[in-house]
Amino acid sequence: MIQKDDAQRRADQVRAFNMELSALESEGVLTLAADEWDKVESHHSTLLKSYAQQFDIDISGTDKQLSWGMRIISFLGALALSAAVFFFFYRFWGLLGTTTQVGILIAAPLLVTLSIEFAARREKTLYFASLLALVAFTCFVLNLSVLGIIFNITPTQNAFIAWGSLALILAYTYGLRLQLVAGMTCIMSYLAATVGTWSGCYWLSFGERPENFIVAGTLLAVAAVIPHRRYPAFPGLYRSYGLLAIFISILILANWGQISYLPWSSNFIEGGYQIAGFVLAGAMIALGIIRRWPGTTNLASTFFVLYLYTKLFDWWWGWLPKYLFFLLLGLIAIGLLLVLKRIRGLARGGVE
Amino acid sequence: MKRHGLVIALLLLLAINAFVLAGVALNRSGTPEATIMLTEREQPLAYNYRHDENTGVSLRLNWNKHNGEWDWFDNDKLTELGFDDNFLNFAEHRDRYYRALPIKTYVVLEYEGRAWEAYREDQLEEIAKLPTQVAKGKMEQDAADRRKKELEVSLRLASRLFAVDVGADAAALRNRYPETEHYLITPGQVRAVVNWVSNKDNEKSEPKLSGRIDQILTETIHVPRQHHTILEKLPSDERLYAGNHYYNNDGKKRVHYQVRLNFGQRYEPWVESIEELQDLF
Repeated sequence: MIQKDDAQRRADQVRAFNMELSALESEGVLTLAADEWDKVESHHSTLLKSYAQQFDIDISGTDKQLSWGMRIISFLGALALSAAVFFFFYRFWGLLGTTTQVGILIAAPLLVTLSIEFAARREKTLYFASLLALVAFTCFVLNLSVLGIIFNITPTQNAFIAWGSLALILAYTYGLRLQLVAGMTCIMSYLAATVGTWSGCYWLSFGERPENFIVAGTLLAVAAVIPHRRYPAFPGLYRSYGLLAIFISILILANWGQISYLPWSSNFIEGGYQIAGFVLAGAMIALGIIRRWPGTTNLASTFFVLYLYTKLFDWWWGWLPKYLFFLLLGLIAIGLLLVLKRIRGLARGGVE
Repeated sequence: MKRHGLVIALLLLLAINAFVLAGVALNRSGTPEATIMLTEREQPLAYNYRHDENTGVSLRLNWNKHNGEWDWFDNDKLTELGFDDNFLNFAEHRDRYYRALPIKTYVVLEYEGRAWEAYREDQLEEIAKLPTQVAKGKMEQDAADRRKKELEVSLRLASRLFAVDVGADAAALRNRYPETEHYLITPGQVRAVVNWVSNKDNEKSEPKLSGRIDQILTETIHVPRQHHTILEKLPSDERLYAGNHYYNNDGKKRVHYQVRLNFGQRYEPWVESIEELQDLF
C-alpha cells in the first residue's frame, strides 16, 4: 500500500523527469513523438492529481518551498501555544480548589488529543494535527508535573516513560516526526535514569554520568533495524538521535574523565574515549556510505571533525600563536576535503 | 489504525492519571504515619510566593543545617547505606573523590529534641562569652552587640528541625524513633564527601569520609486553596525565610502561624491545617 512518502518521492521523480526531458530536447539528444509525449503527460497528470487528492503532496517547486515554510510555522506555533498553556495554568491555578485543578489537568490532554483526530481528518498535510499533538504532549507533561506538586509526590523517572509513551503513540498514529523526537527524548531520559539507578545512585543524578546516555543512545540506534513499512523515515530518526546521544557523551567523557563510571585514572579514561570516538565516527561514516544513509554519514563526519578539533586544541592551543593554530586547522580542513574528493572520485570509478 | 492509536492514547492518559491518583489515595489512607505541628520557623512560605506568573502557594520544609556537618553521619553510617569506601584506595585520583554519586534514602528530622537543645546551648554559650572577648580586646563592643543580636534572633526564629539519622529502611527508622509528634521520616538525597584533614603529627593531609544530606525530596509542600487565607494576609516585611537564621531586622520578624503537617504511608506530606498565632514572641 502506497504511503505519503512514496507518493512524494514519485512526484519528485516526475518533476525531475520532465526537467531532464526538456534539457535533452533542447540539446537535441532526444525528442518524444507528440502522441508519446501526450500519453506520458496525461498519465503523469492523472497520477499527480490522485496523489494530491489522497495525500496533499507537493507537486511543484513552489509547493515545496511553501511546505517548508508551513512546517516551520507549525513548529513555532506549537511551541508558542505550549508555552501559553503552561503559563496560563500557572497564572490561575492558585485561585482554584484541588478538585478543579485535578479536573483541568486530566481533561486538557484528553480534549487536545481528541482534537488531533478532528484536525487530521480535515487536513491531510497534518500541519494542524502536528501542532495540536505538541500541545497535547505539553498538556500531559503539565498534567503529571503539577499533580506531583499538588500532592507532594516524591519525584521518580517513571514520568518520562509515561510522556514518551504518549508521544510515540501519537507519532505512530499520525506519522508525526516531531512527536517521535519528543518520544525518543523522554524514552532516552527514562533509560538513562534507570541505568543510573543500577549503580545505586538516585535517578535525578543520571546526568552526572554520560555513560548512561551511551547505553540509552545505543538502544535507540538499534531500534532503527525494526522495519517501518508505513513510516520509512522513522528508522533514520532513531539512528541519528541514538548516535547523537552517543557522540555527545563520548565528546564529554573524552574531555572530562572523572565523571565516568570506569575505575581508572582520568587521563586513561579520556584517552580511551578519544580513541573510541574516532573509531566510532569513522565506522559510522563508512556504514553510512555503504548503506546510503546520508544522515548518519553527515552526523558522523561532523563529530569526527569535532573530535579532531578538540584534540588539536588540546595539543596546540596553549603554545602555538593563535594565527598559526587557526591556519593549521584550515589547512587540515583543506587536506580532508582533498582526501574526501579523491574517495568520491574512486567511488565513481575515476570519473571527476 | 488511526482510530486504534487514538483510543490507545486516550486510555493511556486515563490509566496513568488513575495510577497516580491511586498512589495519592494510598499515601493518605489510614492513620497518617506521622502528624506534627510546625510553626512558620519550620514551614515558611517558599520562594516565588505570589509571583505574578504563578499563583500557586507552597511552604518550605525548613530544617536547620546549622554548620552543614553531622558527626553521626560518619564512615560507618555510609557503609550501612551501601556506599563503597574502596574508592579511597585510589590515592592518586583526588578529582574523583568529589564525584561520588548521591543515593536516595530516608532522613529522620527531629523537632524540638536533643539536637535543638544542643544548638540552643551553643548559642547561649557564645552569648555568655561575648563580654569576656570584649574585655580581652578580641572583639569590639559594637561587633559584640551585633553578634549577640544575631544569636538572640536565631534562638527566637531559627528552625527547631534537625536531621539526626538516615537509613534505607523507613520502617526500621520508625522503630528506632517511634514518637511521631517529634520525629519525621522523609525521603532525602545523600552523598559521600571527602574532606582532607591535616594530621598535625606528620603534617600530611588525610582523607576523611563523611556524609552530607543534599536535599529533602519533598521539601516544597503545596498549600491547598482553602488554607491560603492566613498566608495571604502576611506582610512581606514580617515574613520568615527558609535557611536564614539571622534577620537584619528592626524587630518586625515574628512567627505568624502554625501548620499541622501529615506524612502518609509513602512518607509524602500534606497540609492538614494552618492556624494563626498571635504575637507568640
